[in-house]
Amino acid sequence: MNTVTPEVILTDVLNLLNQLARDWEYSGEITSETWLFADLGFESIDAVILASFVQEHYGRPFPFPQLLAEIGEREVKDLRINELVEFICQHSNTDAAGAKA
Amino acid sequence: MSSPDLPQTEPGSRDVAIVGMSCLFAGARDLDAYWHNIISKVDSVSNPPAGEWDPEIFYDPESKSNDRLYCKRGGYIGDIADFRPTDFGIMPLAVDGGEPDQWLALRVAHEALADAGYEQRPKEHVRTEVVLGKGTYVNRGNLTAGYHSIVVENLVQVIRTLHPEYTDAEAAEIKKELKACLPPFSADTAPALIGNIIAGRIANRLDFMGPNFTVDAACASALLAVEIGVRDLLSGKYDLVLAGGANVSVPMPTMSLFCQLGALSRKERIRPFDKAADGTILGEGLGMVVLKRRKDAERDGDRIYALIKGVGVASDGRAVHVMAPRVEGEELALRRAYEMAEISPDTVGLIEAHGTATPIGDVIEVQALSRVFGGRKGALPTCALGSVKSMIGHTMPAAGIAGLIKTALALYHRVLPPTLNCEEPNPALNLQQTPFYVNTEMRPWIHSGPTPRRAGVNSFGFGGINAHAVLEEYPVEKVAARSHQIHWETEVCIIEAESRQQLIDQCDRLHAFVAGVTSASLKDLAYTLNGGLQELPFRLAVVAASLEDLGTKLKTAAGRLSDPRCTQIKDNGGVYFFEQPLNGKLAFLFPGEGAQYQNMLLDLCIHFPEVRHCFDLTDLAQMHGKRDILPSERIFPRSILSPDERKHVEDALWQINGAVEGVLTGNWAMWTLLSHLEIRPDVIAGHSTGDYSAMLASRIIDLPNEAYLETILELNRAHERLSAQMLVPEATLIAVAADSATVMAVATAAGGELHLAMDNCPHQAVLVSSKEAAERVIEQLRSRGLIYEILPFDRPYHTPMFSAYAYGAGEEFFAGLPIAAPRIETYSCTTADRYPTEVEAIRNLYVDHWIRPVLFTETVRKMYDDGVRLFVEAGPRGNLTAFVSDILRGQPHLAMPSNLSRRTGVTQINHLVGILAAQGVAMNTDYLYARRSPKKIEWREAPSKATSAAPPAMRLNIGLPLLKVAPRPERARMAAPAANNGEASVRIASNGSSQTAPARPMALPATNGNMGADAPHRRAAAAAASARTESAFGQPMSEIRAATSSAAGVMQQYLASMQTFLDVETQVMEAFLRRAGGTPSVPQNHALPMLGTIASLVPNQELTAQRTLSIGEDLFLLDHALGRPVSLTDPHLRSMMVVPLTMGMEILAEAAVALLPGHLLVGMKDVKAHHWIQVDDTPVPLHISARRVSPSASEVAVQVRNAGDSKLLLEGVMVLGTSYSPGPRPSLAPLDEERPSALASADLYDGRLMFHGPCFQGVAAVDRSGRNGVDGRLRTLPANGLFRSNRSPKFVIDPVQLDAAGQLVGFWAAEHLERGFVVFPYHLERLHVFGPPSVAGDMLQCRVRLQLQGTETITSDIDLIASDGTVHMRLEGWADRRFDPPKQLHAGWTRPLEATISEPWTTPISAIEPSGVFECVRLDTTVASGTGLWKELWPSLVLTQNERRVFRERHVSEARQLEWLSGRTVAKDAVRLFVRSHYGLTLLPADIEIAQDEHGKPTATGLWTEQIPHVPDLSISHSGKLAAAVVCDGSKQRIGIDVQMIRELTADFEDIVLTSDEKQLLASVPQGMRQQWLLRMWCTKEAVSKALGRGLIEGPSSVGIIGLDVRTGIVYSRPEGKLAAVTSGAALREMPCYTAVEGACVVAIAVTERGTL
Repeated sequence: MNTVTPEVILTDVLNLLNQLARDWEYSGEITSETWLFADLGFESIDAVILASFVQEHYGRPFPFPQLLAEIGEREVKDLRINELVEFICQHSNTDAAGAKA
Repeated sequence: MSSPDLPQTEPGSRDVAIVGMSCLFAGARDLDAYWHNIISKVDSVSNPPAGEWDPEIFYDPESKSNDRLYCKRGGYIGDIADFRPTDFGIMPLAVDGGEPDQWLALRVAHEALADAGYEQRPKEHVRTEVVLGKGTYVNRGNLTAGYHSIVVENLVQVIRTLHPEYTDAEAAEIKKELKACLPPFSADTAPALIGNIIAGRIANRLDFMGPNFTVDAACASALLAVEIGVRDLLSGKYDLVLAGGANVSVPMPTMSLFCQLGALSRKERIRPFDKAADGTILGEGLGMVVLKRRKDAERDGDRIYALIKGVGVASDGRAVHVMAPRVEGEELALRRAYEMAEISPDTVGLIEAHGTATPIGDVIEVQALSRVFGGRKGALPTCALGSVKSMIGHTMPAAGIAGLIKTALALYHRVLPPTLNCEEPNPALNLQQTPFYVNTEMRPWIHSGPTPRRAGVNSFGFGGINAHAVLEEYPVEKVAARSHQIHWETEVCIIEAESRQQLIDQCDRLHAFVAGVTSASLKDLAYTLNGGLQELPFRLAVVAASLEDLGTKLKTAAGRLSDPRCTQIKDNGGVYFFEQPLNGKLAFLFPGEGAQYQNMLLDLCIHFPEVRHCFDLTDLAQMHGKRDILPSERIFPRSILSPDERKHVEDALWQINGAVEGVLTGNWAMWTLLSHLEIRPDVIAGHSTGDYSAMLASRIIDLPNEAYLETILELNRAHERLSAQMLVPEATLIAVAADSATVMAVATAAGGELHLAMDNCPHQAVLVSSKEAAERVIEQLRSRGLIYEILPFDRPYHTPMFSAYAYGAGEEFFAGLPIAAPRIETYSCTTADRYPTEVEAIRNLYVDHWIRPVLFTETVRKMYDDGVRLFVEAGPRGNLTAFVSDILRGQPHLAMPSNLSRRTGVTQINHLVGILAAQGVAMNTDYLYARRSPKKIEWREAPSKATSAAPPAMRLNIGLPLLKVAPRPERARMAAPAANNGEASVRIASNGSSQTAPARPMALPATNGNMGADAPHRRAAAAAASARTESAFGQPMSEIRAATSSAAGVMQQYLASMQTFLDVETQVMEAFLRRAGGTPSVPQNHALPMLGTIASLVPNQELTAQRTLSIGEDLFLLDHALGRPVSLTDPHLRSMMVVPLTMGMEILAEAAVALLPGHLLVGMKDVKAHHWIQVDDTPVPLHISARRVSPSASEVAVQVRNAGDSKLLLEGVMVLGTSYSPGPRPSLAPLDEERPSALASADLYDGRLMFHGPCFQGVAAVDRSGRNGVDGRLRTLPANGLFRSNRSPKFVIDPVQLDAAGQLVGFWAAEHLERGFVVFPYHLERLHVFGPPSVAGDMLQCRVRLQLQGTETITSDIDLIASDGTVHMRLEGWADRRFDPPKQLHAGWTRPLEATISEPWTTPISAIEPSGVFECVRLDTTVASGTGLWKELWPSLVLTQNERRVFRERHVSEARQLEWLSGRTVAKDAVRLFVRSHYGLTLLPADIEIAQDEHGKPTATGLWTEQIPHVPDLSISHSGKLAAAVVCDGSKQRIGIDVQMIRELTADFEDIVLTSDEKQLLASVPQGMRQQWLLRMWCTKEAVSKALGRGLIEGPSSVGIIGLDVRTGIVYSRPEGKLAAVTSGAALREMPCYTAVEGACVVAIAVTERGTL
């Protein structure tokens, strides 16, 4: 199976964010360190929509419910873009088999 | 005591109203700042301000000694203690010697009265009482008296015992020097040292005739003052009371006393009620309140902050110790207060505790409170507890007023203020057993009880004296609430234009304004901009946190707008622009459950009472429901709760009742706010429960607020009943990230009781599942990889499972409501269409809405199809906005939340207002500013550079004076001669004093030997270490000199140089880094004090820097002013200030040293001053550029330009090196015709010769002078007074010393030249530097050899010679330009007290002198012709602050300016002569302001008028180049003067001026004199009308001429017509007018006796 690199995923995620944002602009540059909620002003539905975009884009499910639940339990209820990239990367490359099991 | 509220015979008759307040506490210079700090949790406790006392000496955390402090932090007011004496008719010169509390108390009293509205109306003089709490501690004023009267003399005696070698004269000099450190102590300052006059002065200056006195009850003083005031008002004795307390300074002795008591915190942190509390922190400040009986205040329409219901006072009786608190005493004070107030403590929601943070004090206090308040009654505590001491320290006699003011403001603004530093309440307080909780966050004071909001204030004093005050809010509808929080964290600014290009221009203009303005408030700018909108088509909105932020965003926006491809800006940072507004309908969407969150809309409750009131009403509804937790307790939870309490509160917000109340209240509050902003929706809709809000907003349910909120309770009760009956099954709610079709497919696959409840958007639908089916659904969702979330609700809303409710309680509930057709078009999410208009259909739809799904996606699409383009979510959080964006993805629309949990309420409102305004939506933005004292400002013009008319306030010294003497090096060397045996004597200087340390052996080799490889390193480190206690150039130059001949000396010099490098490099880095912080370019670092902020730096190549010169920072300017002093009454008024050339040279030198790291300045070449650098009230920005002359050369060319107009001011080439060359022997020629100088040292700076102030008085003696030069001595002066913020500047060259060297040329010129003796340097060919700057106290020989070059220039060669006889610095070709100042101006400048610029003129008054005392002067206005310098100087010598502004702002010809200035000058001189001869009062011209009375007659005003019984009467006249003024005793007479140059008159002049009778009179004059007499008649008319105080109100006919006496020159006249009518008594009187011809002019003078008017 093809290994997806984080660099490619980051580009994908930034593109998806762009779609999500539509005509809104962000004063600051969006980087892998950007927080989805605090910096980009996400509401919870935005996170879900982004997750759907991700799944549509890759044509496969990811365990987003766990990720979202995990965020809900954090002290800072937020997610950095690089965490999302890592999440996508990890599940793209390792648990495809696990998901089937 | 726990008696319930007793009915009063006349409600409120025993209430006292607080109608005015003012205060000054640490960090807060006024009431607004105090409140802002309190609610913003500002900790104003700090280290002592610099210069107060030296912690290096007195601070020792380990010591128990009584002259050491273990705690140095406090609530200090150092920076904000200022006072404007002239506002109160107080001579500024009398201020410093007094107790500063008297001046601040006067200021605060005045402010409190102004706050009470007594500036606009007459105050009650006779029945006003002034009572102030005040301690009897040793403070500045009394210590000054002690120093003057005893200590200084004692000290001198001690010195003489230790140093018998001092002569009497030297001892006298030491004494003089010590006394010079002190403020004055004399008859003038004595009243300000008498304690009770703090109150007396208020009564005196503000004219009150009730009693005035101070009370001292230690820390309870202020509340006792209030108690007395309340008592005296209620007894009817007095009608107005000014009460308060003052503790303006916390001097060392007081700190010591508290250290000895162990009462101060060893951790230096004040933590009231905290587990870790270990003592208090003292604070400075004062506050006052204005009190009236409630009914009087209501009668007078006063703004009432709060009502005082009762004050209780009690002593501790026999406590264990006079210093120990006793619970019984505190309890008794509380009980007495509540008895007097006739209210139950149960109704109190806030206690401002004494709360000193001493553990025992806090525990006893809570015990006393608990005894009176009883135990905990409900699940949660009900009364907030706090102490402002946590922010400002314990202000002792003022503590009670600090607490009272805070509490009154809390009641006025309905806010529960936070307390700092309480992280974990002390368990010993047992708070869980009490009704109290420590409130650590600002929270809106939501309140719903049957009684008004109430609060108590504690204040307990040493000596066992306790006080408690009970306060109550004034009813809300009567409050004209001005906010005390006028600045918000962001503001929205909207600009608009007819075209896009105009919008860009507008944007640029606003940017220019913002960049240039210094003092405008962003709030006022926003108010001005937004209030002036006219619905122009192109709009830009910017949300900004500061003017700077606004500027940045405007600049970016202008750039983007200039790009034609940019069609919109929609930046979440807050910049909004739309080329094409959407032009659709505007919808409001109300969210449903799930939108509520803790602390939602919190700041909006604070800023907008109308918003807070919505929450009050919800609480009120619930109060009737008797639920254990009120909505406000869930929404705005207490910050400190036990874990159980916290969970209880958090869960409650998500249980159905809490959720419904929460979201509906939030929606209602937001609707209220948007309604006040007049943002009107075209259509509205509500999501799920939000439907209820929509029905309310559209008046489908037609109820007033209160009743509406009651219905929520009803609704919830219905739910509760059903739950109890188990009629509604519990369900699982699952939000699935998919569209409704997918979700339904899942439901079908799972099977069982499953319903689609909400179709929110394409990415979310909510499924309601029976508990039984839930697991299967989740399995399905997992297998399909769908994202889902189980929602924290269990009600099967919007499904048939809810039928039992819908058709039961729901229908019944709804049937009871008044229903009407919607007034605003409303969409139902049940039908995805508009609401029906028939009442029955609406009722049916409401029932359906509970059992049918929420079709939000479809509804939004329908609204879109119907033309809605703008969607505003009118409720908390912003979820619906995201749904709308998902639904309408790809279609042009705008969805915007009014609230977000991640932004403050006001910031999001600003964003909403901005984006809607940019879309062209109409609204009323004034509501945003209504309570914040908005002011219109003018921004289209360039910012005015004129400062405000009022002179700046004096900063008061409140600390104790420090005694210092200058080092006496000659003497010190005598006592310990410098060794020349290879050891160096090292002087250690600290705290301005110095001592000679025993020579420290440095173990240096005796010869030029090698030191070993690591030695230089070690030496450098040693030097660096020693430099920490010494100045950077720590070695006294004289000693380096003395040692230079030896190897040790070479080493010493090397080390000094090394240290110089290190210092300079560090400072260069810091100066460079300062740029990033954007701090103002004031010299904050010791080195490079003149270089400012480095803007760019390529080391060894190029450097640019910015330095702004201002009189605020660059104090040296004040001592380099031509003409000083210019005013005796306004110490801030300066004459013309110019930057000394040598200070300019220092800039050049600093730039060069900064550019070439590791180099020293060893010389300069070709320094040229191209222009004066003159500084007045407007700061002068300098642009400094330096570049290396060539890559290899150690030469740097530096230029200084005016950054404003780029004019080149100064330039020169700096020569650098890595070490100094040894100083050569002096080689200048001997003096020709040498003789002792005639100038005695004492006369050098008496003002006649030199204008230099103390900072520049560096010439110690002029010894010998000759035809070709002069020899003198220069004393190296301390540099600590040259800059405000840099007390120990380290110069590269010593500009003060160089200036002094140049002054010798001036002294020579004064002694030898008949003309051109005023000299200013402008050029220097060459400077050689042979060593680091000398240290303060060193004495240098200075020899000047000069030559006159033509008539305009003097060039000099100058050697500065060190004590070892070598040259320290050599100047070659120092060129001075010679000036001949106009005689009059020169006299006015050098002898301001005696001289006048005008000359006395006796002719006009000689004839009238028998009738009174007169002074008359005249001036040839060509006095200032010639060079520009004198034109600049003249106004600065004579004009007051106000007049200077008028002069600057007059846009008239130079001739008119000159005439105006001459008129003022003669008037002032005449007044000066008069008051000197008549009253013995000496004034300077700028003490006198020439104003005009209501009829245009000139009058002389100023503070001095209070010192004389009558203001003199004055008249001025001009003609041609002549100005004249005359003055007489205004109590007896009025005077008029007129002058006319004799000149050819036009033929019709006579016809215009004279009547036919008058012409006949003129005809009787001999032919040859007619011209002259015509002018005399004309002058008579003018002079007489001026003497009548009116002028020729009807032209020449106003005064009739009825006779002439050609022999005496008297012209007889009579006022006519209107002039006669308004001057009744004089109307028929024949008035003689004395006329004369002198030189080329005619003068007439008329006098009227006062009695005739």
